[in-house]
Amino acid sequence: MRLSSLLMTLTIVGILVTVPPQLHAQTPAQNAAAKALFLEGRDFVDEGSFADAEKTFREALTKYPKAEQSDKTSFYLITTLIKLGRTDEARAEIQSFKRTYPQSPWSSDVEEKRITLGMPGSVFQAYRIHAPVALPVPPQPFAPGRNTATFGVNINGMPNASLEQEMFRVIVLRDANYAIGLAKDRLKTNPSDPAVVSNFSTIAGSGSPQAFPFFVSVASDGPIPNTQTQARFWIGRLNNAEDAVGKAFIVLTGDRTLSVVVDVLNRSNPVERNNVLKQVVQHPSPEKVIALERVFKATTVQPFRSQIVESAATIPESAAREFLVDVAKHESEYPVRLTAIQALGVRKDVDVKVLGDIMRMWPPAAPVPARAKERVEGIRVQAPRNANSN
Amino acid sequence: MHDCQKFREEWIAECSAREETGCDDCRLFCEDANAILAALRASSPVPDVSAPYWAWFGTRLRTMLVEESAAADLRAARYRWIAAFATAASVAVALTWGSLRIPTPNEHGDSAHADVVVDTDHIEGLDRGVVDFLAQSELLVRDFTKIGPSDKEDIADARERASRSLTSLRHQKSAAANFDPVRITLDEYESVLREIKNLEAPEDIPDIQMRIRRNGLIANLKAYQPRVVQVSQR
Repeated sequence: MRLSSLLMTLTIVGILVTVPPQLHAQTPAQNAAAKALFLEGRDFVDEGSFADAEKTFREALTKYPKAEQSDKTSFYLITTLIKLGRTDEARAEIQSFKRTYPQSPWSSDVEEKRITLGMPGSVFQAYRIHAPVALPVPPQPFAPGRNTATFGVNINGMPNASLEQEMFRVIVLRDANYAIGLAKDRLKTNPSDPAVVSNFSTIAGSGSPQAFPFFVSVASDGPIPNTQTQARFWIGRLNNAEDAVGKAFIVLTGDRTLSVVVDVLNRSNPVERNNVLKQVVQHPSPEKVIALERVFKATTVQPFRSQIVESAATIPESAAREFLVDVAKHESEYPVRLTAIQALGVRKDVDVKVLGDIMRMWPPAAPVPARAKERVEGIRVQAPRNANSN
Repeated sequence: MHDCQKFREEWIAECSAREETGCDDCRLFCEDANAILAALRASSPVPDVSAPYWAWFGTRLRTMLVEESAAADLRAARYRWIAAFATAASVAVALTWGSLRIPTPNEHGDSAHADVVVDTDHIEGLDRGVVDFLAQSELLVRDFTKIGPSDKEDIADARERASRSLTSLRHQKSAAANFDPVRITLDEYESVLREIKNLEAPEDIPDIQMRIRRNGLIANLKAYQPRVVQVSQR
């Protein structure tokens, strides 16, 4: 009995000596102080003063490690360290978080950061190995009035879009073609699947030859207008690595999907269309001119037709010159025709006789009405006086 | 020659029938022995023990042996528990000590971690102020998804932040007008902010939280911020 008493006493004394007093549960006053420090740090984050925010969050965690919202403070510290570019410290905090707050509601948020920083871990490993299976079925699109949520509903059981987004991003970065196939499957289930839609930028930047057809498909078939708009936007920002856009453009305009491509580009804004056309003309194959001609004939949107002509003007091959001559001679829309003539005028491979032939094909100018003629002459007479007055 | 040991053994065997011929010590021994023998003869004879007595004696002996064995086990178990507790306490102390150490930048920065870069290609042309606003908004929404109906202080804080965020939202939407995905995200965000700001009952919080999750608002707000990419994946 003496021995057991001695051991027990030594153990208790050891714990009391080793564990500092702040590791005991915090008092309400300490919780309040910790919260005040957190709010101060958060204000720094809102102001963009990340260095100050980091100090404040660290102070809160050091002084009150057992405060009620230490896990939240720790997450904010991780975010702040990433903002500061101190990723090694962020990684250390993530590991510490997993040890210290295994049951925290902020765990999935920290998990995102772990994936972002490429840290190894069990969840991610499983996801990587079983990607097609492990991806949870995405939630159905929001339908007003269908929301049956009541107080006490366990929303934690729902798919976590931001976590899935991070996982999906890694898949795109590793194998874009595979990821695009996966994205198609998910969008069939949920046409506005946030994990996929929020990764449109990653897909667009991947340089995959399948990216353009994917976005064309989403922009034309997608039942959700916002998803279509976003797909069109990213068509205009595709990474043209290895002429991916030009190759896909030629393929898509060569078969039954021509009308789909034309429809999507018709609805795109001029900037988006221009970006696509810029990338198409960079493709080395002469087939690009045939593809542009097909689209030119299929679209009725005049600004788009003018843009195609402008793009063709930058192609040095003779096929482009022939296309421009044809437009200049036979186009019924005056602005488009004028664009073609202007393009031919600056090309060095165009004979002057060709330009003369084009001029002769223009309908003769209508005679100017007498009243209009008087007005024009009146302006001419007044012009020098105005010029002097300036 | 006189042998004390031999003399005394023979004397006891013959029960003092022999003449005392030994030394003084042996004579004293014989006198003491005679006195003891006389005392024994004077006492009443030991009675014969009956069979039931031996049965009772056996049972009692068995019980006492079992009790003694159990007590020994208990003592052993107690020592084992004490030893285990002491070990566990030592482990706890070691772990606590370990977790208290403030990690240094290079502590976990082993070579297994690829170098990372911050990528902004996907938000080229997007107003810097809008990017910052998206980052703040992401944290606001994350915070709100953790609030419970009983967290009165946090609810009040969320409403105040939502109100503040709404004030600058119009400007942000205007600045992001040429960036369709961000404009769409800010539209979604605005409707959520209005719900938070005008929250009437804490019981409505799960509805808003569910909407945030369903629409993937956090993912969308995050998508148009600078992102960390491993160098090997670029």
